[in-house]
Amino acid sequence: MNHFEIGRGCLLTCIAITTLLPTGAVAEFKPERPTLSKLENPSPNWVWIGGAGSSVTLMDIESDRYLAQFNNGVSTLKLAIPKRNNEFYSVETYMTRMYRGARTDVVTVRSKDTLAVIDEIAMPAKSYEGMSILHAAALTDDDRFLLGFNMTPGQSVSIVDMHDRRFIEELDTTGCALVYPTLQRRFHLLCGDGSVATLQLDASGQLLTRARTASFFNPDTDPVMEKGARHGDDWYFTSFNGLIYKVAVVDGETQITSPWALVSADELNLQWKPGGMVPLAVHDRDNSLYVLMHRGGADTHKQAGTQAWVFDLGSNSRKKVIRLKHPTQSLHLTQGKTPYLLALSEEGERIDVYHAGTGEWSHVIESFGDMYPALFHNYIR
Amino acid sequence: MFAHLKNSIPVLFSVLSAVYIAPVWPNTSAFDYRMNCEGCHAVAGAGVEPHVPALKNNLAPFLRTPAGREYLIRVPGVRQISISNAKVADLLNYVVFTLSDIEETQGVRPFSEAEVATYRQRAFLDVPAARARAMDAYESL
Repeated sequence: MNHFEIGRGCLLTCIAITTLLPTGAVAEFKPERPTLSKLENPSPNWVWIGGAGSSVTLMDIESDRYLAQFNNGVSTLKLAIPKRNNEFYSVETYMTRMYRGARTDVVTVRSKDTLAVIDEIAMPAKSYEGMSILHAAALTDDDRFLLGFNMTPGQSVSIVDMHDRRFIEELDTTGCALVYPTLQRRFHLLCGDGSVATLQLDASGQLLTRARTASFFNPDTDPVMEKGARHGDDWYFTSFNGLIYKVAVVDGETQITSPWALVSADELNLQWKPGGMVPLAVHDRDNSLYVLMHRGGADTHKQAGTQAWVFDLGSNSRKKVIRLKHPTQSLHLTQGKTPYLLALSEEGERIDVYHAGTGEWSHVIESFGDMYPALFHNYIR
Repeated sequence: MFAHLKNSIPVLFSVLSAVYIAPVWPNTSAFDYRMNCEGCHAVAGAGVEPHVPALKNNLAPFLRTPAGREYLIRVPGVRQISISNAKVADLLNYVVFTLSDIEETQGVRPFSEAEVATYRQRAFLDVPAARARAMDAYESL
């Protein structure tokens, strides 16, 4: 249809409508006034969606309602949401000519209910950029210090005091990557030799202790994926072939429990493997680990999953298999009374929503704003 | 007309799959450099200042003291790569003696498999501190 046809169509329709309308109806028209609305009565099913695009969208997953959006510069999503106060943090990169020019990296502090920028804290312009991953920034458990992973490709972690609103120090972590916070002011990093490093900060954000476990996996034969899931104070990781390792702090020491297998011998023969952008998710109260699974050969650890397998973390036994409607790159769980499992499709254009308890499909969300979504964060922590 | 070929298709496939040979990677230090170092340290060890130090003509402080040689073996970029101790020794020698100019490496003892094996076992907890120790040892030569 060309413009002429649209114009002619409208001309006829508009004349018809105008002649039919009583004049009184036109007089009652009241123009809307722009207002600033607040995000009120947050639900555990409110979820931030972001990734490699520059916009981050807040959706009510239960009602498929678009709530809000903000821009996070030219960076992949690096969100840190405190448990206690009414603000949240995003590690963002800006350049004077958008994709070139002088680079500044900041922690942007936003209000949780208006998304207004409250503050920003400059940090070394070297924060991690790459594939979207949940572990490029995090808060210590006391909400006090933001841990920003850097890769230049030299690896380090920037410590930012969110209470005093200032950058404190950069800790060299060469050979070990990403940040997995745990008890108090500790955080783990995964190291290229198959070990875990654990750093601990003191109350003022200075490095207190630094330790390293023995190598517990072999990066050449069955590497561990860097995409972990936290349950309580423990972190769970899976290897390419589906061995699950738990990283725990026991009496101040980081310990790795001997791994258990996601797959039986038969399933291994059928080449069932974990994989995807976010292959692991934990349901806290339910004590369950959800794993995105596919069938594939060697090195298919980023392949989209076709099923979500649900394991009980007490017995390490599988209690459910959820057949996903579409090949899925990322899993996510909401943690409220009616928890949902979110499955982001391989192409990123749809989020299938399942009842986490039964595994039953509920609905699909198809309009959520971000061009390259990959990651989810619950609005309420 | 081509019906007689139908029977030969499976035969053709089996011949093709028999002919396919898994790639054989070059067994050279130049190849190991490309696979393990060049991505960051750039072609021929040129480095990318200020973030990635050059390797060419930039290793003198680390070649002549035990602390320096230990650093070169235990620095995570060397220690954590997926090749044998013998090949790590060859790779270090390639970086030191092939990439750098001859004046830089006069009198430097080549790295051996045994030397790599001795140091490579354990990770540095604090890499910048180890680097500072190596630099101190060089300064006091």
